[in-house]
Amino acid sequence: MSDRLDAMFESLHGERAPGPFAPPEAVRRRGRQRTRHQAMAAGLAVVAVTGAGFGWAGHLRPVDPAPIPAASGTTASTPPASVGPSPSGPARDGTPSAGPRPTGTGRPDATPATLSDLRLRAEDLGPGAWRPRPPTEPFSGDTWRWADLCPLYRSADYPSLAHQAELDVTGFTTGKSYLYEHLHRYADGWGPRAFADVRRVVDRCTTTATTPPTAPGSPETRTLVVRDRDFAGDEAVLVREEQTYYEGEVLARDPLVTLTAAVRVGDRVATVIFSPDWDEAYAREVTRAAAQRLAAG
Amino acid sequence: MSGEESFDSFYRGSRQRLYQCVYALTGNAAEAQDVVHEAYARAWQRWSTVSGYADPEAWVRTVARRVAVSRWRRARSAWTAHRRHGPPPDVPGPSPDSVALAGALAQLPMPQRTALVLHHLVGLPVAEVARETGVPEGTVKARLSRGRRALATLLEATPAEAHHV
Repeated sequence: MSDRLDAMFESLHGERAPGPFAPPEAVRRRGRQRTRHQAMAAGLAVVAVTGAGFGWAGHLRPVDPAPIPAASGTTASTPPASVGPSPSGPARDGTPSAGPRPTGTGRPDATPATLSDLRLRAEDLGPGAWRPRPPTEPFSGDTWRWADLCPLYRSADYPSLAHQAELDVTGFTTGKSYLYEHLHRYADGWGPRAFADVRRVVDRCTTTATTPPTAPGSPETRTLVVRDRDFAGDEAVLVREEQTYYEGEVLARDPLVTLTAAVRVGDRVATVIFSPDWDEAYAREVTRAAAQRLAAG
Repeated sequence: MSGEESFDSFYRGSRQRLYQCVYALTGNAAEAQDVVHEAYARAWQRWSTVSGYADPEAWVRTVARRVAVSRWRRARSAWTAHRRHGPPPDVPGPSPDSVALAGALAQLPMPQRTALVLHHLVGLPVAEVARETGVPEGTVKARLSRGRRALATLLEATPAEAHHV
């Protein structure tokens, strides 16, 4: 960073608030008021939901739920016994899945799970002191991992983005490693097209020969390589991303490696990001677990 | 030390740092101070848990950023209108450098702004910024690189624009 920017950030350290900070007692009082308001709001919500339920039961006839036109044929009530690639069979590298077995949830058939029910969980991630670490701002611009991946990226090239119906995110960390999962549900029938868009953006941004950045501050070099396809769910892709960058004034000796796997089950797509420096076999296993979670919905 | 005492001590010891961070993110001193109060109020709601964290300040900072971003999104239309007519006139106090920097930061996309503030103002290493914002380290590096270039351009343009006013 230039000396001028350094000095300007330094100047912010001396900035004072426009008025005195509230005394601690006032902050605590504000916290207690929030608690009371939240409790009141929760109570009102229960009343409203209960009232709506009675209203529905009293005035409406239940309607037979239409089947979800998913390309995989999966439904909320019948999770597949296997979520491996089609045709079903052992994974390409023979690695057993580390994920959970899809089990009946006891959920009524007509009530598909919300995405938050289908997130990866710590027990899916294998050994390690995994702690939840949900991302707080996972997206910039378009709400998927692949936004602005390369200069050729243009939102308009990916029509499925406009058909994202639900989004959820989760994340975990252990030691210096972490992973994040972005879950998308697309509008009925849009899952396959969403995955086609994933393939398109990866293909478009894949580069095979790049030159490293020549000076601090010059654009970082990003190389994408597709490492595997269709190893989980209805379809899947595993992408290895290498970034060459400067650490201060010195070109980093090793590139920063991020693995990203996307897997589709029906109209749901999980994108799992592993950083830094994860093993690809491990990434496949966790991706299969993510697929099983999706299939269990 | 009682819960109230430990909270009060934590609040007094860290609020100024949090204020600087939120001010850099929002560019609005009064808004930043209210966000800081709101974040600590939420911390007090869960103080028995938050106080046990290894770094409670990181928790409060994350809450403050969420609150600030949420308000920022709601106010973005109004803010855009304000910017057409120049920076808001009712922000007394900050030094010219701080005003220029906050104004330039405000023109960056929020993810770049957040990365710059957490790294260069709060002093977090790239890995910590990645953890706190929930993105890969490579993304943080890219945001820092792009953000610094954009900031340099914006700050270089500032004196020239001032001549035209």
